[in-house]
Amino acid sequence: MIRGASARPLWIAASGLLLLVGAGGEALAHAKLVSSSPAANQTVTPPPTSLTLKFSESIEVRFAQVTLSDAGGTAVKTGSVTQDPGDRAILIVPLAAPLADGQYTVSWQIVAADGHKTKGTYHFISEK
Amino acid sequence: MDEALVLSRLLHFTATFLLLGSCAFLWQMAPPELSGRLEAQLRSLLRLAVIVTAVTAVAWLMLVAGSMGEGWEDTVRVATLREVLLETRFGNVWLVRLGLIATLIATVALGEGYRSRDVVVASGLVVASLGLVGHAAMDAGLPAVLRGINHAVHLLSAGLWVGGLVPLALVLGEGRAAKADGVVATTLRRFSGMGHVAVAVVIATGAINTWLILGGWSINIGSIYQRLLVAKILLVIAMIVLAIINRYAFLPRLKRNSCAIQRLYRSTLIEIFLGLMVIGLVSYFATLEPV
Repeated sequence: MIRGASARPLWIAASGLLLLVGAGGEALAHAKLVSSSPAANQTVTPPPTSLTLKFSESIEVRFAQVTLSDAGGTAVKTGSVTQDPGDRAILIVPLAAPLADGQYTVSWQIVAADGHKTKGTYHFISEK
Repeated sequence: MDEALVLSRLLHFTATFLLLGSCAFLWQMAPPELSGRLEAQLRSLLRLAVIVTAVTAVAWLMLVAGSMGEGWEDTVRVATLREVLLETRFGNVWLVRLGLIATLIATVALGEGYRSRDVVVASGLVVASLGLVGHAAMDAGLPAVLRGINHAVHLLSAGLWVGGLVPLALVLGEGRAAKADGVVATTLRRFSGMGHVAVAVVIATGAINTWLILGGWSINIGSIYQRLLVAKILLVIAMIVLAIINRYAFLPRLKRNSCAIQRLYRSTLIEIFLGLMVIGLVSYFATLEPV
């Protein structure tokens, strides 16, 4: 099938691919939280109406879990997790009701497009 | 569950590579008088490979559903499997792959005299579509598409090379008894012609893949992924050294020296063993985080 004479197109394809791909980037790690709003350890005034989490990779929103709990560890009711239509790496969680003053913990667990699961937590403080 | 996934990957790669490489060998490398006999000898092995391909593809899907969900109970929960298939990237690719595997089954199951060419096309698509999942194909956009194509070409050339070693060993094993005739010599020459290209493409695409996944050439020896990647590269280098010795030391002596075919046979068996170790390694470390 692939013999001597037909080697040349393959080489051209391989070098073309190398050129097209361009400069190497960063190593592909499993998905990490890049930034969030409210940001970790931030004090937000007025209280946020939604949480936004930006990850380093595309996320499978169907398997994403984001929970919000108050300083006492009681879960706070949120809307369901949605994905930013323009960027599959961003998750948005609408909040059902305005937050009372205090410290909150966001726990997230996500599955990246490569199928790997990662999780983490961060805190923020809400003030009227 | 991780262990089960590694095992499914190992068996899936092995079975699909065997189908692709063997049938390409039967179709393009073995002359007609040899290929009929080889096909009969390989028939039950290739049927088994098709079954293994299908079973491990389903197992792989179930295990991914379990790891995306909450563990073993999600591997058999229909709702979770549906969500994975319809609402994740992996699942969308897998839906296509299951369709391709159904085509492969039909190709082999329908009628006695299936054609090697059809199996090559079907198993080639099954192998190439693996390039669309995993680290190489993460994320969206053009770079991911190019990474996927590169990965697919890497898998195809690896399959053609390693899978073709099995019928090659059969030919050499038979040739040991008889004196090496012109048919065997022709087959070996053709396989080695294909082998040169396949090995070159394996190296080029493997290098590109490493560069894209690690973001450069510097190896962090503290990372298990990268240590095992180095081990894999060393094993592939050993396979290439064996292939070069076979081609340039033993093959030219085939007609004059009856020991040559014996040595070729043995070193092909070693090459197959090394190939299996390479597949085993990548089945494991490619499930780990690259950094």
